[in-house]
Amino acid sequence: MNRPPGATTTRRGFLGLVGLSAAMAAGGGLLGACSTPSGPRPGSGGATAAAAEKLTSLAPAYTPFPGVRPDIPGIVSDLPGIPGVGGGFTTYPTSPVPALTRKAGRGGSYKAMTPLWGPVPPGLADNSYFQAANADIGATVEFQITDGTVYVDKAIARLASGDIPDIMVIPSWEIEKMADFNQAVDKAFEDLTPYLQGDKVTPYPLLANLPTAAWEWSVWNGRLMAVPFPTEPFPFALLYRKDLFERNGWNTAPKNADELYRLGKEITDPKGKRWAFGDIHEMVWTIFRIPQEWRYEGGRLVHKYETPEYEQMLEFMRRLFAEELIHPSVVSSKGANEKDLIGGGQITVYRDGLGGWKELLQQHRGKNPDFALDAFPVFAHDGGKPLMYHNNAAGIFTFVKKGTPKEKVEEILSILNWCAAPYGTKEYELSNFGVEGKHFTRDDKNVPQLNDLGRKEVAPTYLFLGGRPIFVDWVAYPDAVKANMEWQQATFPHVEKTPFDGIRIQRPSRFSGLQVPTEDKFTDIMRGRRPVSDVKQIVAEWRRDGGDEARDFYMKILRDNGRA
Amino acid sequence: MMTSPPWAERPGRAGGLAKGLVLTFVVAAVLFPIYMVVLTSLSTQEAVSRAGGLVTAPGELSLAAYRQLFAGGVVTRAVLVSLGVTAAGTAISLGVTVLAAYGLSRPGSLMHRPLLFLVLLTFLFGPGLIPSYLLVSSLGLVDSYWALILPTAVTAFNLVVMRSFFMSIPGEVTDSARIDGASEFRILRRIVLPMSKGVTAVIGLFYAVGYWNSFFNAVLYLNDNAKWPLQVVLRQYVLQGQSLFVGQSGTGTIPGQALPPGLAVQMAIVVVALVPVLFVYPFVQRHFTKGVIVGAVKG
Repeated sequence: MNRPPGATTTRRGFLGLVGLSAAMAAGGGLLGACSTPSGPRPGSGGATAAAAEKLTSLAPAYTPFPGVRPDIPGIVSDLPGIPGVGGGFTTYPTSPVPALTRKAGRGGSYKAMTPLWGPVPPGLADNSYFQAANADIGATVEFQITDGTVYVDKAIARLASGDIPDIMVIPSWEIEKMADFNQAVDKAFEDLTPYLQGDKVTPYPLLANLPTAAWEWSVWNGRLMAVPFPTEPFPFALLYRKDLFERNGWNTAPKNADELYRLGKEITDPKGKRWAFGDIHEMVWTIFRIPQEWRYEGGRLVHKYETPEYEQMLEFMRRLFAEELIHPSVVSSKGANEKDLIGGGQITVYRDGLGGWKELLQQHRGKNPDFALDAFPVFAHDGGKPLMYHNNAAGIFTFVKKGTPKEKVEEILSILNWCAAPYGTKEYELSNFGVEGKHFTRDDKNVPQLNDLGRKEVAPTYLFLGGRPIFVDWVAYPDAVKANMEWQQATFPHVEKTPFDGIRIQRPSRFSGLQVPTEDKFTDIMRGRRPVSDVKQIVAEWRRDGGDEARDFYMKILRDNGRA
Repeated sequence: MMTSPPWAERPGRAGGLAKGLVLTFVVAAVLFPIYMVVLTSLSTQEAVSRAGGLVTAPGELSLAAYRQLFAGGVVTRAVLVSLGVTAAGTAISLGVTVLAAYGLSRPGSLMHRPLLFLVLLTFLFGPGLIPSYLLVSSLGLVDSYWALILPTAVTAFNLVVMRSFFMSIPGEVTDSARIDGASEFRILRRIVLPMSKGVTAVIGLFYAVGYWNSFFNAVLYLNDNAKWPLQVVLRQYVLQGQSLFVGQSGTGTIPGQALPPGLAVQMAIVVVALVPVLFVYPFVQRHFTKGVIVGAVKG
């Protein structure tokens, strides 16, 4: 069933076949803390693309939900396939509004398979949180929770054997590991186009509240197959210890690569056990305006490795390593926990998703009220126009079992509509915290905090059924919410528009497989184990081993879409 | 005076001391990590933070980690599930393996060569993930404890070890029993098995450890979380907060969700997973060498 790697787009492909990751190294940011955002993307057998206009016409009509207004507004993205900036909440809404006016369910009973990265809660029969949420929904959802790290194995086995649950959640990074998902998706799951396309979404107002860019990722084989879990635009930022920077009067807004280097020199003090940087090189890519993957210029696609900027970046990183401005345990082992290092002040600047910001505050604000982080405003190596990468607009997908009768599909979508209730609604509160007084109490800032029963019974389950608009909701740290929102709003205009935005492309597997070995060679250069002059040779090897083949594949996509 | 070979001589004082030291070092190298794990699991969060990782010197002790682990009732239930699966699974596996090994060890038993060949084939070729799943699901075993036992009931390696042990029992012994009128079953039960306590204990331990550690089959075949065995449940604790994708993107992190578990809880998990095996091992240990070298000296 595997098509040969590097297969070109077919007519069917043009009509809207699938494809998972548009050319995005950064899309991997969704993988979570355990992997770096530009990590390898296991290739799929086929390699296909879906056209931009087709995707948009399949999406449900976007109608914002009027019930909840964030304290700091976000930015609605009109860039195809690129997520916008969600708003920010600095306080928890005093009285959460009900998002639905009538029961979502009609008494049906459904099994839902979801991933979980955390302790498994007691089952439905012994779990008052599940019972309360199901009562509010008006239907029975029984979860089949599966270990998030081996989710793909189980998902593949169930898809292959036809043993499909009523509702099945599959993260995008797992889908990319499934060679024949394009075919499996049609055999296993119900086509949701007749229920959701355009104005048909009206019975599900909270699904209509999901961004169009996210829906565009839910299309396979020219059909709307899943409810998407929206993401936020930026895979990472350069976070720094604001409290230490202010105390020492360091430069909190470097304007070019040289200022960043000088900052590193100033901060690093090995005797005082302090180094300027953790692993920052993926952010240094953006500083040198290296394209996220391809750049289209002069009628030709140029891969990031082939750009002169990439070589400049390698030279810069090599200098940081050579002059030991990067923490030695980051240099020596991939497993160094940079969050511990920055929390302890052993490094002062590192690259992380914006989520790392909140996690560090949770860990350290309690003991150290001055503890603060911020993100460097984006800048370019030459002081010119900055550039920033973007995520794919959806990270997880919720599918409905094929052959489900129409009224059941409608009930399931209605349940997913309930699950899509945004921050600040009653439904959101119930699905995230359980019942007030029983599973949670409010702290002095009115924020729900789980009690013992809540910690035992409440687990992210309904949360994975579909998605909801993303907000910066760290209401415990209003200062950080403001800083985060300011950074996102200031950064959004600099999001790189790639040649393939809005087209969904499944990378040829041979090309995907090239990434790690090639970047290992570049790492050797950064670490000073190979001379910078070897770049030419490494790029030649990359072209020979599949780079040129991939270029032809991507050129064809551009031509097929009238962009070249 | 009789001269003994060099290796049988009593060591000198220095030699004895050196051996003692080396052995002490080896034992310490084995025990110290276990000591650290147990101690860390019993330490308070403050003691762990102060030690900056695994605790080596006892500070404030607390059972908090174990209380947290067993609070939900989920872990307790999983312990019972694992004990049950291990007991039933080991009994079934041992029974089937003994019977098969005995049959295959008798010269001239029906089709023993092709059967042995089939068994050995599974050494070389394992069924893939999907064929296994298809088989288990078409047998209706999904969501059943049998899915943890039947697919792994016989291990070719254990079968072969046991068979070669049975073959090492002199034919005269069984022949004389047969002359006395014993049936094959009686010979197996009364003659062969009592002579094979060692190998049976070892193979039983192999099976039991396998069942106790069963993880992947459980993830694959058990949809009902209440049926999960211990290892799957414990692993979820270790994963906590590790790779929630929204965590990376930040804004969508789950409010009120606990931070990753303290080191103490992680170490308590190690202890809980380890203790039963540690407990059983000494009782089987004396049979161990004997059982495992069976295949080695038999030509």
